[in-house]
Amino acid sequence: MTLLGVVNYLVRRNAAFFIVLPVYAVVSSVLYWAGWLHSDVIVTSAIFFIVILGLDLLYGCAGLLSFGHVGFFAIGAYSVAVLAAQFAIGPFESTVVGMLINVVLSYVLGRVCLRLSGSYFMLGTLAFGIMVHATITVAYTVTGGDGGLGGIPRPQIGGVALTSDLSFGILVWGCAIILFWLTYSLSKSKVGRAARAIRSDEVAASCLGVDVGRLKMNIFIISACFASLGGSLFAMYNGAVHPDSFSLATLLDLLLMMFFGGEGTIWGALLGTTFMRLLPDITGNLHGGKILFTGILFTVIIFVLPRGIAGAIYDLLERFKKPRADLGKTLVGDVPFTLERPAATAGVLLRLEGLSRNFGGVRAVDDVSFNVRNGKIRGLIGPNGAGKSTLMNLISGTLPLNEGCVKLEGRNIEGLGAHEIARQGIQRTFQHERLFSHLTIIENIMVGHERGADGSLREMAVCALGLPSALKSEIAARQEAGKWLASLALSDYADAAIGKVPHGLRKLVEVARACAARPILLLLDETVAGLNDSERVAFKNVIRALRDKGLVIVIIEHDIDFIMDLCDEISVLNFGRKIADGTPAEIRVDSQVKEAYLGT
Amino acid sequence: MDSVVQVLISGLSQGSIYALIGLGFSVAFMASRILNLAQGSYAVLGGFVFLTMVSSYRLPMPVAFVIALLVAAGLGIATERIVNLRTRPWKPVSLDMAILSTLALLVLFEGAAFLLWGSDPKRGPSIQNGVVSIFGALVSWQSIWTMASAAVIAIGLHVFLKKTWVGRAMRSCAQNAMMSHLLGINVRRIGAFAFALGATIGATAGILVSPITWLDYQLGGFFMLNGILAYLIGGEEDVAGPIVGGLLLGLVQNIFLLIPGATGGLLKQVVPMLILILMLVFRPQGLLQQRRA
Repeated sequence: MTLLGVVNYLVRRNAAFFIVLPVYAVVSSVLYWAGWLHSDVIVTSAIFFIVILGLDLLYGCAGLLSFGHVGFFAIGAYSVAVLAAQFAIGPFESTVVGMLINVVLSYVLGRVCLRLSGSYFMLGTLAFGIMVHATITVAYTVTGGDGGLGGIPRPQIGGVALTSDLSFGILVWGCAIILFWLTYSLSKSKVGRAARAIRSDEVAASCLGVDVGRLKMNIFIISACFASLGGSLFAMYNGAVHPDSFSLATLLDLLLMMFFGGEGTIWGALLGTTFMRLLPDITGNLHGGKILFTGILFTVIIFVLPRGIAGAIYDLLERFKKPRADLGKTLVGDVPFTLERPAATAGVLLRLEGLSRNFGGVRAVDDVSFNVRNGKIRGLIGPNGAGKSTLMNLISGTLPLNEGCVKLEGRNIEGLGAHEIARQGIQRTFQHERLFSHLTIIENIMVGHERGADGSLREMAVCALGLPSALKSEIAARQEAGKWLASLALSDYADAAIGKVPHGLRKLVEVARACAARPILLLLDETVAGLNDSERVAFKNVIRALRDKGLVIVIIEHDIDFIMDLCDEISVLNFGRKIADGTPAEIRVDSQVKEAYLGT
Repeated sequence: MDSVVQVLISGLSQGSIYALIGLGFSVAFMASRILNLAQGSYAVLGGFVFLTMVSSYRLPMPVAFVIALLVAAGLGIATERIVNLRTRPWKPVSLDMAILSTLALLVLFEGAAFLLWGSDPKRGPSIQNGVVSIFGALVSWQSIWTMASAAVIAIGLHVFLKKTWVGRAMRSCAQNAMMSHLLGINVRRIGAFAFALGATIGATAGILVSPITWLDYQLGGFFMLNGILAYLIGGEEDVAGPIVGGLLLGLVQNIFLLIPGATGGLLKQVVPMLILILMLVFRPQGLLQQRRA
């Protein structure tokens, strides 16, 4: 990889950054000289831009809609105000203090709310936002209550106080542009991809090795810090704070900024904030109608521009793209799978011993044991409700097991989380395909590269800063995913949404996604259900090719001919128990199996 | 002793209001799975309409009451239509979109109330003036009406949901909207009906509470939060949940007033939110619901 190549890659990946920012700068300076844009709007736009960057990272990427950020924003602002008034601490120091407070609070709130699903997460964060607002109003001895708190000094750099709008604006825009770059790079990196994967489907993301819990928590904390910084700058700029700036109406303003700009794009936030800061100038003589106007605007935007201005621009660009080649003419060429390393143990790769799982009073999997050997395809059949999929969920860690143990290469892996098991080298597909709808096809395949994202702050820093190691792995992931797409004749569709691809190909993409993570064991759950004959043949070839390259496969399937033709060994389940085990020829003549399938 | 009874009764009366708003919330949530953040607005707007009809147009109370309920029902149907503008029975509205659009409607209603009735708090007409002494505590007739209405509405709703075809259809939509659609239930009409019903229950709460707390345009969010809280504390039980949760919430808020030196503002705002967060931590399924396996 040459230096030029890296620069070229960076420019192309962060194209929006290099296009949007100069255009924005030119347009806003023209408007400023024409007298339509006040310096006040320019400065506050940058402040709110910082807040929305964090909010968009949280919602647009990870899909967590927080109503509590107005609380983090308020704490950032009030820590500057209170520390200046009570202890005469400078604004930079108190900004850091505010951020530390917010890190602690967001960690605690995250522990409480992140394990809750959808609407309860919103309610919990909403409760936090309202509590902060109420506490500010009630604790008037410290915060000044409804009267607000003034006398916040402007920060000093090199002994010069940034009192003019120009000097303060440079500080604020400096912060905003740096954070914009970092956030944008992060959203385009493997962390951003993992976050979008979580937004689409948490279970599938964790099965690809993404540490869902940690990633969500760290993004939540980071976005709280952004809100805190924005709040501190807001307080410094205004020189005073007032509880009205942190009410429910502000929450709505923040959400409106994000949704009007275009959630999930990061750069849309720039347009959204500027528009919302301009709004008072536009609606200047509406007065009381302002709330009504905001409400109507919000309602209209949600329905007319559900993806905001930025989304509308992307939709427009999509129209000018050249039409793609037809799909699925040649299904599968060579399978670009490479086994990362040979199995550590000879013979048995995966050993199941006495696996059991209860659902209430039902014993869905009852004392099942078998071995999966190297170089083999193991079939798993049985009537509906026999516990096949449950067994697969137990192995992959998507369901906790009640009894028994699972050994991969002699190591116990039962009780580990799904992402940890994925990192040990087990990948799976799902009965109903679970591709990530918020990612393009090539990104779907890239999620599992290098065993997903561990969600650590270190990894996020490396990706946001674009360090060489991150770029190298990013480019490798893209190349490998490109090979898979080429083999599926999908290269033209690399950047298409997953919805553009028909069912049969989606199932193949899901297999490619699992294989691109370079597993040593692949679990396939009802792979060919709903596929036509030619697709089944294609699938059979893929699975055989994978086995020949050294991948061990366990497959669940109802199509008996398919299984008998493909598998080296078969286990039969019925009512949660294993009733037979052997080669296809043995299973074919087994009386118990006949009974289970035909009844007597 | 007197003050204890006094506090208990005012707690129950306040709790009845929360319970009613929670019930309205529960009815709409049950049939559509939409968390309607605009639920509090029906109480505010219903209360304002009632107040205007009685004090400005001099209409008799029952007539004004019916008009207020009709307006609220209209708003409820409008909410349902707006939220589901782009959905089909087999393609329900996404959770985020539903919450966002009802949040937008909350603000829209707030703005409308501000334009029509101004920013000053207004006191609504009481159904019956005067007080009565119960165990030495003075209780206003209005509180008694409030508690009685909550009881009657809860019982009526229970019978309606269990015994009538529409009630059963609503419960089936709650469980599986698509299947209900395939079985010939008009899911959208049932949804609209549920929203209308929920809105009228909310408006009743607003009318009952207006002489006690006074109404102002910003109360929608407060009502909504306490209603949701009542629903969450009770657990996902259609009728009993919000009633138990609402009464408990009212009692807790008022019992704290017995502690000397406790300030009202903190209790009114911080304590409910604290309860909500604690509930989400320890019993997200609510008090009445068993922990799911």
